[in-house]
Amino acid sequence: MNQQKQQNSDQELSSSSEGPFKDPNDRLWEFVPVSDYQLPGHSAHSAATMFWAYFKALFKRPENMASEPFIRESDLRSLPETRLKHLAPPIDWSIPAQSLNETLQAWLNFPEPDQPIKFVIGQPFTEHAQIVRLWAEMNEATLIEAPSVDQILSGDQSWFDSWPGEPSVWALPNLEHCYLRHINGLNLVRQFLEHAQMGRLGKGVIGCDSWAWAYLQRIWPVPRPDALTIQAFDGARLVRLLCGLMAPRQGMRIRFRNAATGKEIFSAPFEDEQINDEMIQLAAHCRGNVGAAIRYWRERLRSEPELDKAKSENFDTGQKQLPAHEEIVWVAAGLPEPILPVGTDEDTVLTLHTLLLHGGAPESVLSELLPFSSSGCMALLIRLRNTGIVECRQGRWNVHELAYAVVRSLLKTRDYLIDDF
Amino acid sequence: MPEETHAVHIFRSIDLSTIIEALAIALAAVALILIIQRTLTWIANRLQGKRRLTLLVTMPFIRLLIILAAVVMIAPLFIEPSLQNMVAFLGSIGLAIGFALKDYTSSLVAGIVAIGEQNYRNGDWIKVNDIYGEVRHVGMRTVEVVTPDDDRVLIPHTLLWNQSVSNANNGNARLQCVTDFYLHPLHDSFKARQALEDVALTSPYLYFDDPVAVVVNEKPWGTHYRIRAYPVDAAQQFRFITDLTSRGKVALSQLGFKFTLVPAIPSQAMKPSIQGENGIAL
Repeated sequence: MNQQKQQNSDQELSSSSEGPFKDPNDRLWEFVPVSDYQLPGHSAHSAATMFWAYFKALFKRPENMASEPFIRESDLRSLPETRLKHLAPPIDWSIPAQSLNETLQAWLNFPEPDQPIKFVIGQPFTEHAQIVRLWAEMNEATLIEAPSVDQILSGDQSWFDSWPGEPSVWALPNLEHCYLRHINGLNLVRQFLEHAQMGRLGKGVIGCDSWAWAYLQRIWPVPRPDALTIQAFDGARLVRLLCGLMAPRQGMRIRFRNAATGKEIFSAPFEDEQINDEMIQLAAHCRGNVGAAIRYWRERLRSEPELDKAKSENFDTGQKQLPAHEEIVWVAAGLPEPILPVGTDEDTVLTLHTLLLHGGAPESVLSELLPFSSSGCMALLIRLRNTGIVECRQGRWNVHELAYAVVRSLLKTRDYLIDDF
Repeated sequence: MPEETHAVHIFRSIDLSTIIEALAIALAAVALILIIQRTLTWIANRLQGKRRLTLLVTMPFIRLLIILAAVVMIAPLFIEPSLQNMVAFLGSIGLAIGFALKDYTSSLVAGIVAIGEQNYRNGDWIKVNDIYGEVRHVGMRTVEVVTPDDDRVLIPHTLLWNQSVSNANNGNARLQCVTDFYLHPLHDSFKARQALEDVALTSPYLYFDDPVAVVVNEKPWGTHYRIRAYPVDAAQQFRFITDLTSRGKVALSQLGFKFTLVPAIPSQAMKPSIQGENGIAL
């Protein structure tokens, strides 16, 4: 385990020493107060390009909408899982957990801190629960599991027996699973927050989903400006992360190129001084959410069938031959998002909102939280799953990673409560 | 003779081409109004909240402008365009219409006032007399309201002169909903208030940026609770109230509170009554 962590740290360091990442103080994983979260913006150029593309699309017929792409996406194929594991492997969450540990070290070592508890807020898919679990392992903190649905609804006080006595430290990874938006679903979490903030439970770290946090701030309105979150991943951080994640092969350079334009987005190891607009746009579209951004990236990677390889090798820059130690990976131009139907009905909106507020919910609970029948709820979930908007993982229904941005945007447009990111 | 000459000078010689031109302008104005109304309604129905209302509000103004523009273009086709002629002609027309179609004219004037003062706009929820509904169209003579029972009601603007108009949202996307509960007076009021506040906070329709309040009034027959809260969209008001009512009854029953039973007819106070919604008698 330690060896693996060391290897990961080495990867991170090796990637951070390249290109525009020469500042040794620029940490990839940084925990900051929620108010310091810096939402990545579109660059002026990409914003203008997007506006112009949108404007043109209003007046163009569908068949004329796209100019001839550099390489047709239909001629490319999705990467097999083994290849994806090499090019965009899953994030190792022990690195951010280590960063969290460093951030909390002063608080942890102080015998009587001002705040007995610390909140770690994570956007969906940024695995805040996993990070808190790993932090708990590092510090031998007692891991507190969320109460069951029955315990929440009955306000079962025996849940508080799970806490260790002082001076032990504890960690609750997922506060979003400790309440239900139900008339009987708030008492337990209110009691818990009261006990915890008064220091009756000792010192602890609480992980919470950003949507649940937004809701809990309404039902337990005690501002916590010290709540921490992972700093947003802008274009530069994303490139740096992706380069760091890729398993390095001796002397091999991988060039990621846009399939529509043929232009290079970045290459690994990183050598360009400028971050490509594609990455800036991706980061801005995902609002700095690293989990969603990586998923988008993985979905967009394509490889070329062997027959067309000659074309890619005679690339636009002067028809030069691609050196043997270089490899091209194509990146699909469009974002692989499901399309929400125009005028999405109210039941769908209520369901998606409920799923996000609870960090996903089992189907047995959803009918308790929504104003329609259990069968109606199930039919709706299946419909949404078939269109790729929701998914069911380990018995919990949740919004799909690739649908998250459009769902969030929909809820914001309709004035529903959304998270602070 | 001089008067006849004067009248002849007011009007231009009218030929077929003038009539066709005037008809073309009128038809173009009508077509433009219809196209703009349909387009804006189509776009507005795809928007939500404030943006939808803002777009709907512009419709009567645009229509008024088009009608004025059409009149300005048509009038010189028939009248020599001098100030004297225009005043004489429009004055005569106004007088004739004023006498012949007094109420109609009054409604038209009230319509212009309603558009100008913005007493109600498209998307507002208004109550005039016993009619409550959403404003769908502010016409020149009437305002079209669609009630929750899906009845289309046309209310003449003249009612503005002597009737009060209650506007629930007044151009905003949200409106306050009041949900009533009537409890037997012997109970713990703090628990009831907390439970009802939680009922509002756990509603999927609740708009969180506006306050939730539980108002309590003691009555001779019991305690009257009102949840005042805002749904995310004005169109959700009845679903919101239904949701609060049904879940509120469950929450209060779970706490052991009894709903009050009010006699249906005061003079027969001792006779049993039928309990209605939230404990109120029918």
